[in-house]
Amino acid sequence: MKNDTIAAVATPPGIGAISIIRVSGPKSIEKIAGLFRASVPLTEAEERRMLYGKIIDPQDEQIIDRVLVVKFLSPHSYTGEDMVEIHCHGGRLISSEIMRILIESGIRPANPGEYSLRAFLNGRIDLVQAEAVADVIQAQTKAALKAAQRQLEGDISKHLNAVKNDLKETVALLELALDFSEEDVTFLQSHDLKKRIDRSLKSVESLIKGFRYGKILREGLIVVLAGKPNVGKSSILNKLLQKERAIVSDIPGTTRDSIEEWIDIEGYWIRIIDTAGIWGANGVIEQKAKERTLGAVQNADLVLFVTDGSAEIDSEDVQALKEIEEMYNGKIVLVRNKADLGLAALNERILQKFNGALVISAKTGEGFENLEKQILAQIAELPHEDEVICNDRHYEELLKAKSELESALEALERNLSEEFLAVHLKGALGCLGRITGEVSLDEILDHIFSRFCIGK
Amino acid sequence: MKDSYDVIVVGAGHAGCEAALACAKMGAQTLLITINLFTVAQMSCNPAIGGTAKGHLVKEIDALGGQMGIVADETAIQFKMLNRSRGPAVWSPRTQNDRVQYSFRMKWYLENQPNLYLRQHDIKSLLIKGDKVVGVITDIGTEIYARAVILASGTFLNGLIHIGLQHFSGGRIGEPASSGLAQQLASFGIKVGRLKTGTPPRIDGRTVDFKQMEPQYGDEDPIPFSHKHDRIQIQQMPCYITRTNRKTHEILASGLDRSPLYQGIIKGVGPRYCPSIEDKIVRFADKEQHQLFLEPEGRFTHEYYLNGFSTSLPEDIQIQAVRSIKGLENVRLTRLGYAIEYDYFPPMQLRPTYESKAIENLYFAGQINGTSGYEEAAAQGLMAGINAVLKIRGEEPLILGRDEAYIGVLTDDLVTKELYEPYRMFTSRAEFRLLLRQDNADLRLMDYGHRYGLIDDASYDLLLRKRQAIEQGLEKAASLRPPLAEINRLLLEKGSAPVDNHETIEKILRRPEIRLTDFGSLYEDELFCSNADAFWQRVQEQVEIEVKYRGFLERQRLLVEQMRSMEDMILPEQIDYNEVTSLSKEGKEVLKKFRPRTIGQASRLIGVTPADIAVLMIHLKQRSAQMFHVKHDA
Repeated sequence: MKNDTIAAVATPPGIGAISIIRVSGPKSIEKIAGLFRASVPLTEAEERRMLYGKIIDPQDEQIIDRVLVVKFLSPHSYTGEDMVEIHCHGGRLISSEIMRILIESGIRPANPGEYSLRAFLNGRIDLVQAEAVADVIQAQTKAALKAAQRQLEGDISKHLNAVKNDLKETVALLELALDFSEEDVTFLQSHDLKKRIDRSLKSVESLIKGFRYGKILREGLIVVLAGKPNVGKSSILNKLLQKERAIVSDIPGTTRDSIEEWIDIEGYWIRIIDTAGIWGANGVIEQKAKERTLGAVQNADLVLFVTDGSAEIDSEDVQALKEIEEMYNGKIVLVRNKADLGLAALNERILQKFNGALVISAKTGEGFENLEKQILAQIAELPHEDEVICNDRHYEELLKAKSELESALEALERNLSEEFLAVHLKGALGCLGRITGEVSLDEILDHIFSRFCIGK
Repeated sequence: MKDSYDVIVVGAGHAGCEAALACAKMGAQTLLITINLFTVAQMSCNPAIGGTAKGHLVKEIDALGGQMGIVADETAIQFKMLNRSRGPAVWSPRTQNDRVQYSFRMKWYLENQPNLYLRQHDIKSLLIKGDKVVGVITDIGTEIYARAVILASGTFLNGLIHIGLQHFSGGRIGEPASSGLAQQLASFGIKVGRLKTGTPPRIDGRTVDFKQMEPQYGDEDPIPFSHKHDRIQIQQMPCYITRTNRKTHEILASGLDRSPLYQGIIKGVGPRYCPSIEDKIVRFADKEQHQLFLEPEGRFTHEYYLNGFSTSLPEDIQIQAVRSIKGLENVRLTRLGYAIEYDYFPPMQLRPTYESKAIENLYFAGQINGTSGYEEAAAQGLMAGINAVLKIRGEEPLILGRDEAYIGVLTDDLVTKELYEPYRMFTSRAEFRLLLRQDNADLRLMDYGHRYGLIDDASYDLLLRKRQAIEQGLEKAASLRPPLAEINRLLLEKGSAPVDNHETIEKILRRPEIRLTDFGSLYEDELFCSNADAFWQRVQEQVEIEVKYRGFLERQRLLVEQMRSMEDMILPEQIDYNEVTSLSKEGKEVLKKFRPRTIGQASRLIGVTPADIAVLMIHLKQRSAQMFHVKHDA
């Protein structure tokens, strides 16, 4: 069977200082050669030898990362096809940027288990392992499907479905004119058709933009731990990290008084900032640290206001809260740490102000499940300025849909009749269908029969 | 003495006739049995052949050596190419036909076909040994044996006719239904379903005021269905257009309390694309009028078919409602409209050869498979006939692909999709619509027709010449570069922008306003000749289409190639999906139910995921490797 060229990030997300992106298929070397600058072109480079160079975004010639690249020639590779591995710096941002330019260059994101499948079909995996491969594919697909569905909840899904349904209606109107041209119904005129296609194109473009500037994908949800000193903010951070076992690395550039870490809660990327507990201080150094703290708070998506639950709220807490509120008007959650030491009484007014409090203990781990829930709840409430697409496959389909819609407009410009436009619009519909569920032909006919009185 | 044939065809409708003729032409001793030999190849509904997508089917039947296109041409009273304002892929030929002539003309071909025998009988049951059919038993108890039986009994199985609240048994109005067969088949585990269809009243043309209606004439340059016919020279008859009005709708509504459809008496599911007039006024209540066509029933009759007015309302309502229509104020009805419910066998129980999965050597073709339309029926009959003979000979079956023919789309849809209403062909059902054109049916399919002896050598030689001329024509277009001055003079005449360089004809021809014959003044060549004969006109047509739409055609060809690679992976019939452990639960159920023949078919089933397909591919590879090992050991 003829294969296309596929790519995927091979290393698990969030672990390690290096990420590896694998590319497999007949065009893998040629395609990567176009995106990779090194002392020798990749096409001429020695097989199975690491080559140092830069990955460039061909759109703006910007360097995305300095990487090591190695190529394998068929059949001496894992899949038995020509393969390229890109070893880039760790972290989700860089690998997803590289994936983005690979997709834009026409490489398809691999389906779950596709590498193993190719390896098997090319005789690189023993027959005995076949069942295992089959199991893996089925399992990975389920997991990927679940992940994709989770990403598609809410607004994006609504938006996508609206685009899809609109397009489905356009296609139905085209088909109506073709299959029922003798019927006594009004057919779509070319300027209305143009309007409809323009509208779909605009929607798809805004979804694509959502991928490129997807806030959660790029920056993570910013959660700031704030409060006066010695209430256990760092312990909370450590506990979160330890629990998730998802330490990436310290982001370079963080100062010793404000620590940033990335954690992964149920597949969501969270950037968590532990601020120095310096409030109302006057020294030059302290002033600088305070500025940074307040800067972090200013950009936060969620502030966890940490207090010592075993003690009563004091003036220092109040002062810290006051300064936070001056900089930030988003959601603040009151976290009462050190629950293991027993809880002190809490002023009713404060409880009301925060709509309750989260009681936790960084020492025993008590209440951390609720803490995570609280963070996830905040993601759900995030104001989505753009609908965010952060799945490689979805992104690829949207790019294809866009190009189909553009071709449809071109065909319309050339005065081609409905069946030619339908080729492109059905193509676009197929792309959107692969994100939110296929549109069957019967659905299109259903639409025609329900809206128009057809039949002699 | 044992009465025995190679093939018995039951039913002489559009499916049965094609099946019987194909078998006999292929050399099989064939018996065609029908309830009434006077009603062979009846057009039970409107007196027309072809139309959108259906016209494609007729052209394909013709390219494979079937009869429908020939008879349609010979008995036509009007020719019309639909969708002429659009691209070539959706041009659809249609004829109005003389109903009686069509029937008798087809009967004439049946009678004159060597190896084919006709008998009038009702079939009460099949002779079945084990899980194989070996013959039939007639209404008077005669046993007739055959190596294959093709059932093409249309709406006759347990047919029930409704007019108002009255209903009675019948296969078509005035003809008996057939009972017994369905029950016998059900006892073999074959599922039976129930569908409904209907037909409008016929009216006496002498009582119609045609002056109040808009005539609809045929094409001035009729294009025939059959490759055997070059030019058509007949006197064409017009159809007429009129419309229902508010008064009509009121009358119809007043009869709904006696409508078998709205009183829940009709249980079978009718087609949404062919609703009755009562359905139209209920479902589209805000529509103030519905368009009706008066179609002549033939040259030697005054009867007209009232297209668009299918109904099963009681007689008094039918008469009143029709008389409320402009031009029909004094009309006399000659036949009432009626609805008919009938048994069908859901076709997912068939192999793509139309052979039953449950009973070997038994084939089903036509409306019995839940389709509607003469053309759909004829296509199935032809394929069932060809495949029955190929199986008897022990040869590979002929299964057309979705990329080869509308017939391929039809077959694949029937065996892989659940039917919810009578199945009708639409051009939108063909994903490779741009490749499956009515103008290239011969190029697509005549090789098969010739290979199986259904297309004669003379026709085939002509096809080969045509193919060669097209190839050469494309080469010429790609290589000839007209002189700059002359081509620019020509372009100027056509209101087309001049060219700067020596461009090829191909490049210039891509402009919508330029035709191949425009180059006739520059080159003395039949390829560019503006008054070429029919052969060269067809060559020119193909060269132009290929050049003008190449981008789209190439795109579809690429998709075909991708699909083909999946179609080439055959799923063995004995595969036990319970043993393929990693399949998803839903995928497993769907695969067990439909038992697809190829990976490609499996991938089109709803409920089968891409992961399931990967799992199946692994299973296949594993299986073939194991078989390979066995062979080596032996």
